[in-house]
Amino acid sequence: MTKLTRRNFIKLSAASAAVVTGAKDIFGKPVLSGVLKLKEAGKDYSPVTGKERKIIPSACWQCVARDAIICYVEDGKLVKIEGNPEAIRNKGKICAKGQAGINQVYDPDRILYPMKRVGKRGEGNWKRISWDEALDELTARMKKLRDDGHPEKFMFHYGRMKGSDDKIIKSNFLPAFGTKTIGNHTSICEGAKWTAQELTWGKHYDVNDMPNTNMILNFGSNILEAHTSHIQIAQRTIEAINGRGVKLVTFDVRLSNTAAKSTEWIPIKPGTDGAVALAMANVVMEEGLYDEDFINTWTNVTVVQLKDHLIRYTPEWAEGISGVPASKIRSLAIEYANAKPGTIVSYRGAVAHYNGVDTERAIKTLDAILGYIDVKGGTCHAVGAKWKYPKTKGKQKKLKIDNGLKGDAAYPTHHINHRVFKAIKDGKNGRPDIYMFYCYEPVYANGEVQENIDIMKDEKLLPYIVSINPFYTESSALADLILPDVTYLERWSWDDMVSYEHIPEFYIRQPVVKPPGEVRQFQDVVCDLAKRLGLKMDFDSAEDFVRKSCKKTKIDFKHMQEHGVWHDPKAKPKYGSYAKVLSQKDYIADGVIFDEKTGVYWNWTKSKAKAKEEAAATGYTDTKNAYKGYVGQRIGDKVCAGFKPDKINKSGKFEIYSGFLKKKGFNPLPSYVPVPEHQKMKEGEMILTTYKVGVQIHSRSQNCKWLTEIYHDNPALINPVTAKKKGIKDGDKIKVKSIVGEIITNARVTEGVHPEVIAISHHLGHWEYGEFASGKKASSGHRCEPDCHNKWWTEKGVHPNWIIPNAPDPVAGQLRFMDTVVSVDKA
Amino acid sequence: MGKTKVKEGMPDVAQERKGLSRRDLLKMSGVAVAGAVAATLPTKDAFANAKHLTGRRLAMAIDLDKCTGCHACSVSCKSEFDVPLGVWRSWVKVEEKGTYPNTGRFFLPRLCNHCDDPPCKKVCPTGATGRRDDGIVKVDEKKCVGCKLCIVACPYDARFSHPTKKVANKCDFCRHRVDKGVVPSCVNACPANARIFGDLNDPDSDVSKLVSRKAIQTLRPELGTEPHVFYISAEKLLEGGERR
Amino acid sequence: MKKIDTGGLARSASQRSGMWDLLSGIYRSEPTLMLIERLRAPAFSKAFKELGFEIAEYLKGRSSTEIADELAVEYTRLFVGPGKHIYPYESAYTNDKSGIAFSAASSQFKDLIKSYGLGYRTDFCGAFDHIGVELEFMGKAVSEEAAAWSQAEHTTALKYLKLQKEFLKKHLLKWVPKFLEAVINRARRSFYRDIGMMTKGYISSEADEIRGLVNRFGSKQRGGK
Repeated sequence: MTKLTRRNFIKLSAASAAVVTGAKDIFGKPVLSGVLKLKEAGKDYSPVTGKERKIIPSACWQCVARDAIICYVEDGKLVKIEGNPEAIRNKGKICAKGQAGINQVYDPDRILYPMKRVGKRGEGNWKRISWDEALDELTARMKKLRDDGHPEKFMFHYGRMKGSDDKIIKSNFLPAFGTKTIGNHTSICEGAKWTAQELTWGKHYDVNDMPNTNMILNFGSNILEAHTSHIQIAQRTIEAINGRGVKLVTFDVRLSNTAAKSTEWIPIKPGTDGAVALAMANVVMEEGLYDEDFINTWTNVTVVQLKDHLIRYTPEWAEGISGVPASKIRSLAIEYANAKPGTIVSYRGAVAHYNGVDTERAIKTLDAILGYIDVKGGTCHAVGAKWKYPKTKGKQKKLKIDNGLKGDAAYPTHHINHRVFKAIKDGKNGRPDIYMFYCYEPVYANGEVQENIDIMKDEKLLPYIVSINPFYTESSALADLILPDVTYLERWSWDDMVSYEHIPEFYIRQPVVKPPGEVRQFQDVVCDLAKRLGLKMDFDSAEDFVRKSCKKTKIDFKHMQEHGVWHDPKAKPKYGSYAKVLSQKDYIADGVIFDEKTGVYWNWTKSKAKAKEEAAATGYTDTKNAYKGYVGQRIGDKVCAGFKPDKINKSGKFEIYSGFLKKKGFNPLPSYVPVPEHQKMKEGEMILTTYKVGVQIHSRSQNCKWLTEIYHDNPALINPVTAKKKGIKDGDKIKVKSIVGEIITNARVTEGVHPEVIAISHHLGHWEYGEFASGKKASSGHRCEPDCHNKWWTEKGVHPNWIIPNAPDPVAGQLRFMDTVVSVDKA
Repeated sequence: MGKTKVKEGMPDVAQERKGLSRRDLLKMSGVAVAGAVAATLPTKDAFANAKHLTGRRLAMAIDLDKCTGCHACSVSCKSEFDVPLGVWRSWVKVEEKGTYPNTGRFFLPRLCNHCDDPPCKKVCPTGATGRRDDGIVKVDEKKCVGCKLCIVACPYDARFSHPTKKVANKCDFCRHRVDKGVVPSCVNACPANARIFGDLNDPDSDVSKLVSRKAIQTLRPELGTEPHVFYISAEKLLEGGERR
Repeated sequence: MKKIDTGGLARSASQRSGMWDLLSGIYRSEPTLMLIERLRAPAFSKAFKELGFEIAEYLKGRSSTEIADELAVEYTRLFVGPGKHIYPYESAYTNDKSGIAFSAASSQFKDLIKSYGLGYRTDFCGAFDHIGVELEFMGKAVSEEAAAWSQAEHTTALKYLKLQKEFLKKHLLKWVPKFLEAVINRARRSFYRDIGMMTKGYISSEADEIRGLVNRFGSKQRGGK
């Protein structure tokens, strides 16, 4: 009769323990060797007390990659940040910038209270006011606009805003208020890349399937130091090139760290990447290495059309344009074609040019004709978490100034934000009475810095300026009202960055420490403003919004608080979803009509058409917002999901031929368009390009002492042969002059840059942003800490943006960061 | 001394040592190869210390092929110990070699080498600098009088004087983490997994296997300090900018 | 709020770990002389009796060598063969029902063990997912839990408890009950019949205990402001 009670087992256990007081050999030789270590890395201890440090998971915000992190807190102080080991995207890793997020929280120059300007704009005199005072003033001004029937005169201009931070503002507050005068920043980054993708394969963000690829071509991306998905793509690229010996070939005007770790660095003349890509495509067609089935089934061109078009782009021709040897172009093309599959990475180095859109289209075409699109190991559509969240409807009006000046670009699908100030100066489409900017640097991040400053200082052009920022920046210094925001480590949000696992990962950001002073998360302030303005929203705080979103998306909020991340364990990566055959019930439905011309099935009710007949008569291509109703594409005798369009009424095919480009007078097939200024350069003139380094982000990390300690000077990189011709030695002061203006900076003579290029990183050259960024303590207040006295460097760099024109590319409106022609002489 | 740390300069890597077996290494460093643990009657202490294998020798291997010079390690170390500006426990040297267009850039992560025969320990007048049985060279801050002799004695520039505490300071292989079974901060942080850490005396450990199978270099071996930070693929750093 | 008795939890975990090790040792191979000697200890006899087993009786009277020989034959008959025997490893019961000892599923299990920093003894020739290995893994996880409690490391202890819970759910509980039913039914010697029943009871009891501990300590908020 067995009495298998817990109590009796305990007695047996005690007996075992009494016998076993040492080696496990007592019961026979153990099989397993080693010490059992938990898979998670997430553990840390105080080096002083040995106590275990508490963990709070959250999400990074040091760049757009927004990796999942775990934050270690000791006695209410944030002491360490590491990658979240449970995250499938960044797999427990973050970069140097992510770890230095602590410096954002404890920045001695942080703004702690609302500030109101005293004296003239830009004088740097401020008065501390209460939140009530600040919001009373702001509300009064905002209410007046609404009462006068001009809510569109409230402009909201953001730099970095994503996830729920974005949805609270753009999908709730601004519609409730009634304004659609919204600015973003994409045009200074990679607007051309996205527009090119919208003209070609649909929704933007391409994800290179590194774990499964056999060869990587890289045009102008600094994967190992930057890139929109930095750690995700970097760690997988390293695994591919080190672990599997995958070849990585980088075309870049200078030796970035990515170029340094590549199998081969191929220097290239700025703005000529398109020529090389087209020549490679030509070789592929000539050699018969193309994927005939993909071209015929999924693109809107034929093999004959492609051959006829590409024949002029010979490797020899491309060599003349780019400097890349013809033999190299030819051999790489063949090697890449035989990789089966390969993938091409491209970023600002390739697209921040006059011909950026064509370059990106040429690159995507090269992958397409080889059948590398959306296949395992190829170039895939990005997959991100799709949250469900509260929305507020509202009638919105807008000032047409988000696309710069008339004629700036043909298809500015991501707007032309660096020319918003020019549009405001011009005034033809009105000017905002209230200009509010959030996590954005209108002065510093754009080109033509002086003009930006002049416009901001002019109260006739911008009567009232509000800055939402935790820090006192060059732009904040010119505001009338500063509302201190929290840092990302003190706020509530959910986020949705794309996943290199091709499986969406949902994650949140939650406060890890109590914010100092009177700083408030702006999304909470917005709830306050809404109440004051009598606007109804379905949530009363950022935290409430996140909770409600979790509920709507059927994700356990408590799980998110404890783990930070969640993904569907049953989800599997999906490749080739464009080929999914739709069932009748998908395309035979209410509102869905068939467009004979394009073969597209679309739901006209989602477009701007007022009636079905109107929609049918105008057709899919020409009906405004028709793409929003896209259902599927007829392919042969089937209807498939196709390449879903976004922002442009592209068909469901991979459009190598773009009717939209033809309509606006551009070549409908990807072509090489030379940068006009580069055709008229004088002897000795050079091309100014900018670049990023691994330890800094564009403009908002230079206040992080641990990062700026490593990188605090941005001398101009110049090739020794060129330097010698100009009599310039390493360290010499040089004058770099463009049509906009001139800067005096130091030369760094290096073998790692193209002889025609002068490369200056755009991170540095601050004159505000606090002690560590510029040496200048913030006028809004400075709280000295021991490390202020340990700052051992005096350099702060020279900003190249002073002399870079805010010039748009003619198709997308992209800021042509890498095109500027300059004269370079010893100062 | 701290101010020069991040400037580019000649790395202090010397000769290559190919194909040395782990046993040879251990012989050279004077550590006896751990024999089999006798299956005697277990003692109370043995059970209590079951987690620590006797005869552990901690070491780190850094694969320079994988290192991309991202400085995640440098910042993670700064953060872990709140190291003041101007001094480093772990840092990365950068070197450019070659002529355009065949230019190369190489990275050398640096830290205390936890030598078997540490010069710093020899000169310490108070015994504040000590070496644990498992090889970690550490500073007992309470005993340090700030004479700075160890800082001068270290041939690897690994030590510094703490600006506020005025005592000697350096990398200690994150012993506060290691003693609890967690890898050092820099090892955990490296996105390329270029740093491998573990027990050199355990033939099954990753560091052990790497060190016995791959060609490794240490810094200034001619000084006889017997460093226990091993570099893999440092040849490219030594030769003239040759690429992979 | 009641203070957590981490000392008591450490002691309990270390005893539990000892039990897992004992069971691991019994199934790992034919019982050794040393094992039989240990099992004859008075503490064990008393505990077996309270559990209602005849094991103490079985072990009495004869020499350890005689018992060892007898049990070796029984062990071989039950778990090794030749001829029909009970497969003592997981993959024979789960996806890969082929009964092949070194299948892909078995290899996956090896990778899992390695991912926890463990290795297999170089002279071990058995299946990677042998019952002895799985029981030993539990013993290690509980031992680490004990160490964490003794250092008052709540978070770490909880992590090991969660690991035990997951390992039971994903592995042991998926096949061992069936395995033990077979052992209980086919054992000729009372030793293995009793051990089979005891193992079944202990695993079930542990599953409850571990779940209870995870609920008790897992509901606390991680971190705070």
